[in-house]
Amino acid sequence: MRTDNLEELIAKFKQKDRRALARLISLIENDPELAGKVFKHFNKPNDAYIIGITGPPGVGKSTLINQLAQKLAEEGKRIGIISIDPSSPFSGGAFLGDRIRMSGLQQDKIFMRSMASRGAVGGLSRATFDICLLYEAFGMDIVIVETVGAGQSEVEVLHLADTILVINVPGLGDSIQCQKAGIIEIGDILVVNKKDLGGEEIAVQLDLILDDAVMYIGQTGWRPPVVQTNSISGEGIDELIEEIWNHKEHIELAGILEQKRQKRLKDKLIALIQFKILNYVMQHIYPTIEKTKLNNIYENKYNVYDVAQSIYNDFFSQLKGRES
Amino acid sequence: MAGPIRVLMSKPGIDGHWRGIVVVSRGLRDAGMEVIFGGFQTCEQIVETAIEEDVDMIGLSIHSGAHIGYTKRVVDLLKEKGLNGHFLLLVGGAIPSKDFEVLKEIGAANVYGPGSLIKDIVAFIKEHVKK
Amino acid sequence: MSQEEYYKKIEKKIKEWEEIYAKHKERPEKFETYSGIPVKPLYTPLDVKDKDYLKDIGFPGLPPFTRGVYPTMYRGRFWTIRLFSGHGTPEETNKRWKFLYDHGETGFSAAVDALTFNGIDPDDPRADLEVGTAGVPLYCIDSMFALTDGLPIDKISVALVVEPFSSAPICAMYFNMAQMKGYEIKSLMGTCQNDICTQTIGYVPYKNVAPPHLLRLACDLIEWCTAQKNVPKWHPINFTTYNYREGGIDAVQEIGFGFANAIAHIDNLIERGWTVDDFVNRLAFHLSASKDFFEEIAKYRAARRIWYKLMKDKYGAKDPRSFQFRFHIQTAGSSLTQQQPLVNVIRTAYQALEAVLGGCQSMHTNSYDEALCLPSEEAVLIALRTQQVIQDEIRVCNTIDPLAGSYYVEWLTDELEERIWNYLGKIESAGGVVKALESGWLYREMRDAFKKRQSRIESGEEKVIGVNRYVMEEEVFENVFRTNPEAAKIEIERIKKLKARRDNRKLEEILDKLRKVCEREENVLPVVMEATREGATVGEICDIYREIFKVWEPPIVV
Repeated sequence: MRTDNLEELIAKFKQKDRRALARLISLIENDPELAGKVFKHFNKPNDAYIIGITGPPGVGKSTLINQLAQKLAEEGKRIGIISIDPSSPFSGGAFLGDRIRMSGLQQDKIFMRSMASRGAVGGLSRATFDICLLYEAFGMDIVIVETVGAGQSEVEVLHLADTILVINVPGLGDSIQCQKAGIIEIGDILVVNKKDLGGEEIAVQLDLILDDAVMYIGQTGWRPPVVQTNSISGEGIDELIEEIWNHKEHIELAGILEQKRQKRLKDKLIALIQFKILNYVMQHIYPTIEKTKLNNIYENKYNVYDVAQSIYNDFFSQLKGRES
Repeated sequence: MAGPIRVLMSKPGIDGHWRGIVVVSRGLRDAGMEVIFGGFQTCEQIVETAIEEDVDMIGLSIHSGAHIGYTKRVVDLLKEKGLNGHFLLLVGGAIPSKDFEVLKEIGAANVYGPGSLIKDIVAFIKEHVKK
Repeated sequence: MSQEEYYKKIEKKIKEWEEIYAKHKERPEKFETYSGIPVKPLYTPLDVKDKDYLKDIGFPGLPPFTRGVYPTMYRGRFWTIRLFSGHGTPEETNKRWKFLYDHGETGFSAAVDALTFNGIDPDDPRADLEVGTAGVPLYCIDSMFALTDGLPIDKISVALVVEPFSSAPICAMYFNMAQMKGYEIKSLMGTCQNDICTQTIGYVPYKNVAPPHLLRLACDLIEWCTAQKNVPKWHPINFTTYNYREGGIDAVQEIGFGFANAIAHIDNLIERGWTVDDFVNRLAFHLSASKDFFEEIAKYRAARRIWYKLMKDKYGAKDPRSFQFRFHIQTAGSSLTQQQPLVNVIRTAYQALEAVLGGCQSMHTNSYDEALCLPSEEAVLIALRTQQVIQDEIRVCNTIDPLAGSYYVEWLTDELEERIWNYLGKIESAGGVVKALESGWLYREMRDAFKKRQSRIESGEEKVIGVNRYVMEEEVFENVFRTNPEAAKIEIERIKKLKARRDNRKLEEILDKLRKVCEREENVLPVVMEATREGATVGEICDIYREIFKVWEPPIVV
């Protein structure tokens, strides 16, 4: 049977056992607290470069990643992929169909994992960062994170990835307008896929939008290029890779990469603190209140602010109790 | 801590009768499982995917008449990698009941022919996946 | 008494009757057709009082063809009994065809295996386990010689059930074989399926090309065979709504999909400069005979009328043959169960009767073991006899369209016609068939329909004997037909011999020519004819399509 023994898994993981990697991903995904125990066993992880890929559904993200990963593997890179799709809010189940477009992956160089968002907002599953770290520890040079095309809430990708690709296709004119303020502005590289369907027009349109966004460009000094690709034929993939390395060089030289990585550690730290405290409150304090007060709030006997304050007070006094 | 049940749904080979796999995948998702959809895969890809995705169950959907050959090939590969028994293996499709026992002897935990009900499949998985 | 007074009288009487009816209890059931049309307890002259017999119903062989496409229908000639069969190797399929022919079959039909369907040769390691398991492997001209050996293909028509991705090479192999045997291909009779929707929504294609390319390949065959009159008696396409229907959609959607698909092909050929009368008379349909007896009959009658109106009003056809909606029938495979398999004989018989009462031109009846395996000889003989009983014993063919004038059937025919027109409009607003395929719209329609059906079966709302009704302990069905386990070996051997024999250098040149023809968007048929004559395999030709048009992955809709 499969093992859940952490020591054993980590020993195998260090020998580059793919099964151990897969199992550790599951364990961390199911119990984020476990990440702390796992990462005790590793020194500072390697410096994997994280590429975030986002865009509306149906633009060919998975097919593009397939091409991209294949090319990078040919250059000798080891690649870890995380593809995230939404969990159903009703059943908790998920349909993870990205593998179907990634059938030709080289097993010795590429590891691909499908993840369900499991209720996390912003298009990124809760354990994404931990799995990026696992991939790094496993020796991956590049981590590709593909997220659900959830529109503007995708902005969260920004804090995780070093380079962000935003994918569009011809014929999404209206959606480009909608995305203007959100998703397009987070792109370091804008990709127009399915160029055979007439990518020129949308490429021009994107260029115009970018020209307007002077403020944004001014912050980093980077003017996002628009790359046209055809993920079916593989056209434009070389150019895309070149632009990724251009961007990498730019942010390294400008010191942005370091800032980004500091920022993402800070974000993770805050997220962990939030998680731990909230977890404690939900387990130890909230249940006692839920039964009695919730109904009373509903019936206007208490107001919601006062109840929140009393939960906080309870929490605080419990903390004090523990101290003494 | 146990997460949702993860399953791989795959069609070994090239036969395009997809209705069964799509409907069952949907049913499993609606029953709260995370369904990794493999679509057309070679037996090697099926095993590799099951490992990477760390699934609890592998579901093979076969309508080409080659169910015995494909199931055997998948089980042989699992054995080769020392993974026999790691995954709950279910086989479904246009399979005569006469072959159910044959497939079970090869290593399928259960077999679902035409007219199977999704609720039975869900119940079986929930009962047999050790979480 | 005037007509109006008469109807008033009936109306009054109906009210009285309804009051009596209301005093009685109905069974607890939702009375509706499978496509969800509510059905009243009783239909009367009032339900059809707005009908104009001459305009709406008419006469067999005359517009609007509600009652049949030919003046004599089955009093002139019975429908063709054409059983879809193929397994193992071409030689074994030939044996099965001879068996059926000896027992009274009047048309042949080749079911091909998954490799032939997807343009893959048997020496491809991705599919070695599927050679001959779900149909006959036909991948080179030698296969065609073996398939038809000793059969009178000049007298009896042959259906090649292949789709646009591989239809050109397979038809070309057949035409070349016939020519080499000394037959005139101008007089060859037969058909191929060549249906882009079967290849995309009926089955999920494995490493095929995108719908616009498939449409183009399908139209190449229509243009070359029919419009250019190279094989004028061949039906170069069968819009196989049967396959979409099997995916779970209802009768309205079935005809809607089929006609929308036909429109895409007709428009393509008109763009090429042809007029409808140059080719429409050879377009054929392959419909399903499904579970709802009267709804299916009304479907055939409505479809004939819609086709006539489409050709006349939308396309301005002049040739009377362009107005005739001709169709082959397949009884519904999805209605068969593995449980209590002999019950399938009864299901199939009723469905076959529907098709005859609906005026089909040819028919396949399923064998009772088809939910379990490919049909055994014993089972296929019962399927054949099912049709022969209808032809010879029960005298339903004595008069034409015997259900015409039934208040229910006429009302239901009108109701279906209206719903089909509406659905056609819906497909049109989704951009037509090709766009709807690429966008995933059609897949979504299919998924929703099937989901609905599955949940009805699971809840018991749709009753299926042996599945959710009258379930019983059963003995394991022992008589399972097995395809030849040596098929892959035999076919790989065949391909080796072929490749050793042919002029590979010459073939390379021809295949190069095909590349250019594909790039220039010229009709592929002339070069494909040349290539297959020189021994090119289906896989080799389809690989060139893949190279030039690129492999397409259909949208996955769950």
